[in-house]
Amino acid sequence: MTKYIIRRLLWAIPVLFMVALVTFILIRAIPGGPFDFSGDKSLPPSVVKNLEAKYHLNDPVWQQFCSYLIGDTICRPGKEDNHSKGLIMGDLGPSFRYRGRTVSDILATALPVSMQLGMMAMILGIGIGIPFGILAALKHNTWIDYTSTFIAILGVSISNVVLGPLLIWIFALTLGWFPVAQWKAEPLFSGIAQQYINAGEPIPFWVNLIPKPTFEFFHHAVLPVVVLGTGLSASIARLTRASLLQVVREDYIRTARAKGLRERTVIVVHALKNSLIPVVTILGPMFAAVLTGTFIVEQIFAIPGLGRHFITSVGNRDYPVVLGTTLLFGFAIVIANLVVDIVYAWLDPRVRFD
Amino acid sequence: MTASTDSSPQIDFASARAQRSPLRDAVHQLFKNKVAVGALFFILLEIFIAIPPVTKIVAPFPYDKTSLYDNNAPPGSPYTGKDPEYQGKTFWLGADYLGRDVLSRTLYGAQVSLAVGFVGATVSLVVGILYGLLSGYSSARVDNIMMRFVDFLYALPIIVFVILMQVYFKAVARQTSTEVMGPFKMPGWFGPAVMAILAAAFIVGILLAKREDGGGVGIFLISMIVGIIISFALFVIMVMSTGRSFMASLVEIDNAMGGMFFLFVALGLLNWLGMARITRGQVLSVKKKEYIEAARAIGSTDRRIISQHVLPNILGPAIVYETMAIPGYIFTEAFLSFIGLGINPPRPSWGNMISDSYGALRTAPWGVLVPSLALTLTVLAFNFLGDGLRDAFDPRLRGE
Repeated sequence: MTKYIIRRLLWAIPVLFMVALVTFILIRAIPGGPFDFSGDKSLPPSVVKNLEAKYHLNDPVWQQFCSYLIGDTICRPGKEDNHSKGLIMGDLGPSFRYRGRTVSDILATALPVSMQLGMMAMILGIGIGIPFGILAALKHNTWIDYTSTFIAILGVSISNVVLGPLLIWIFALTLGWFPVAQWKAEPLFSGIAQQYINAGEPIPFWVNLIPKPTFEFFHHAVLPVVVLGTGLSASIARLTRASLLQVVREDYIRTARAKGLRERTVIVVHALKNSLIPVVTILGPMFAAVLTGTFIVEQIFAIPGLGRHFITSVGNRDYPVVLGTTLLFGFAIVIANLVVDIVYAWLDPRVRFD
Repeated sequence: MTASTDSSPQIDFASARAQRSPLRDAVHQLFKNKVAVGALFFILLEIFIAIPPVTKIVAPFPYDKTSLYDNNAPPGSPYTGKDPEYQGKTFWLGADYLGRDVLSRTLYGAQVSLAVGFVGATVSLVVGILYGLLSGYSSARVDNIMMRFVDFLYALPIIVFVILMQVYFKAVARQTSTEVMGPFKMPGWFGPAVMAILAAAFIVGILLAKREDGGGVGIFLISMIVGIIISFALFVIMVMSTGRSFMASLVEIDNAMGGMFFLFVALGLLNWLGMARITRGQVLSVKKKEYIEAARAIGSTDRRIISQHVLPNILGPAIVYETMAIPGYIFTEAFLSFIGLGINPPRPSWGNMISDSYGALRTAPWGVLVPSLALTLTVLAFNFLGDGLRDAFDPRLRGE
C-alpha cells in the first residue's frame, strides 16, 4: 500500500512537469506581454525594457523555463541578481502585476477560498445525492422514485452559467434573502492571523483555510455553494440509484435475504457498500468538475478564489501566477485521483495494489 | 434462431434476421420510450431551425440588428426604431441592452450549441474509437503504452488548458486580422464545392460500405473524414494562394465560422480520452468472443474482423456514451462564451447572451432567462435521449 502511494506520487512528477512545460509554452506563445498597457496607461519603452530585464524575459526561453524549474543558481550561474530558487524548492516566483507579492502569497489567500467553496459544494452534493439516490432505488417504480429521478435529471441539465444568474435573480434581487456576491471568510484562528499581520508577514495557507462559522460567512456562501452543489448532487443521486438497483439483483443479496437477515441489514451491510463503488470512482472526475464549476461560480459571484485569479492573470499575461495556479490545479487532480483510488481499495477488497 | 428449416421452407429468413439484429431491436426499444422519442423530436426540430436559411426565415430580426430606441424592451413590445424594414415587428421575448431581439438571438444561438455538441461528439467519437481500436487490438505492450499515454493526459487539468488555448487562438486571431492584408473575401464557388466534396464522400462511403467484402461502418467513416480533410485542405490552399500565412488561413476559417473553429480544436484535442478508454475496454472483451475466433478460423483478415465484427459491436455503447457526453460539450461552450473566450460577438451563443445581459438582470431579466431556458431544455433533451439510448442498447437495464 505504502509502496503504491509512493509510486503514484512519483508518477505525479512527470505529470506536473508536463503541466508546467505545456503551460509555459502556451502562455509564452500568446501574443502580448505582461507589461503591455494600452492608451494613456502605456509604459515608456525604456521602462518596459528594464522590467523585462529585471524578470529575465529577454533570456532564451529554455533558460527561463530551466530557472523556473530548478532555480537561477544552476540555470543562470554567475549572475548576481538571481532571485529564483526554482519550483523544486517551492519558489513560484514573483507576480508581475501585483507589486511586491509572490505567487505563493496569492495562492495562500486564493486557495483557501476555493477550497471552502468546493468542499462545501462536495459535502452538499454527497449529502443530498447519496441519500436521495438510495431512497429512489429502494422505492423503485413509485412516485418517490419518479419524482427524485426527474429532479435529478433536471439537476444535471442545468448549467452553472444558468443556475447562478437564476438563483441571484430569485433569491438575491427579487426576494432579497441573500447577498448578490462576495465571500466573507475570516480565519477561525484570528489570533494567529493577527500575529502574522503584526509581524508584517503573509498569513499562511492553513490559517486562512478554516473559516470562522459566522452568520455572515454562511449567508454569503449559500447561493454559490448551492449553484455548485446542485449538479453534483444530481449526478451522484443518479449514479447511486442505478448502482444500487444493479447490486440488489446480485446473487449474494438473494443469499443474504434467504438466510433470514433483516431487510435493513441486507441493504446497509451488504448492498450499500458495494453500490458505492461506482460513486467513488466518479468522485475523481467530479473533483475536476468542481474545479470547472468554481471558475464559473467565482466569476458570477465575484469570489476571489483561484479560478478568478487564473482568468484575470491569463488576461494580464501574469506568467508566474498562471503557471502557479495551473500547477496547483494539476497537483489537486493528482491528489484527488490518488485519494479516490485508496478509498476504492478500501471499499472493494478485491482491488489490490502491487 | 429457429431450427425448423425443413418443415417450413417458406419462412422469410431475411426479414426474420433483420428484425432480430441488435440495432433494429434497440431502435424498437427506443421508440417504445415516449420521453426519449419526445426528446428526439425536440432535438430534430431544433436542428431544423438551426439550419442557417431556416433560422433566417424563422427569426424575426437578424441577430445583430440593434435598435437603441428599444434597449431592454420588455417582452411583447413593438419595434419603435426607424428602420422601415422592421416596422410593425414585435419583440416577442423582449430585447437586450442594445435593443437586439432576444428571441432571434436565442434561435441563432441554437446553431452554436448544436454545432459544438455534434462536432465535439463526432471528433471525440472518431478519434476515440480509432485510438481505442488500435490500442485494444494491438499487442499487450503497445496497448499498455497507449493507455499510459491516455492516463497521463487524464491527469492534466484539461479545462485550464482549454482556456489557455482559447486565449491563444483569440489573441492570434486578433493579431492576424490587424495585419495589413485587407479582409478576405470568400469566393462564391467555395460553398458548393465543399458541398459537392462532402456529398461525393458520402456516396463513395455508402458504396464501399455496401460492398460484400467491404469495410462496413468503418469504411464509411473513413470516407467522410477524408472528405472533410480535403475540404479543409482546399480552403487552406485557397487562402494561402492569396499570400497569407498558414495561421492566417486558420484564422480565416475561424472567422467564417464565427469563432467556432478554434473552439472545436480546443474541445476536440482533449475530449476523446473517455471514448478511447471505453472503446478499448469493449474491444478487449469482444476480442475474446467465439465469433471472432470463428472469423479468424475461416481466414478473415484483421481489417475485415475489425470492420465487420468488432466495430459494429462496439458502436452501440460508443454512441450511447457520446450522446451522454454532448451536454458536457454544450456546457463547456456556454462557459467559455460566458467568460468571453467562446463565440465571437456579435454572433450570439447562449453563453455570451447570458453574460451580456447579466448586468441588466434586475431591470431586464428576460435577456438572461430566455437563453437559459433554451440551454436547459436542449441539454435536458440530450440527457433524456441518452438515457433512452442506454436503456435501449443495454438489455440488462431494460425496464428500469
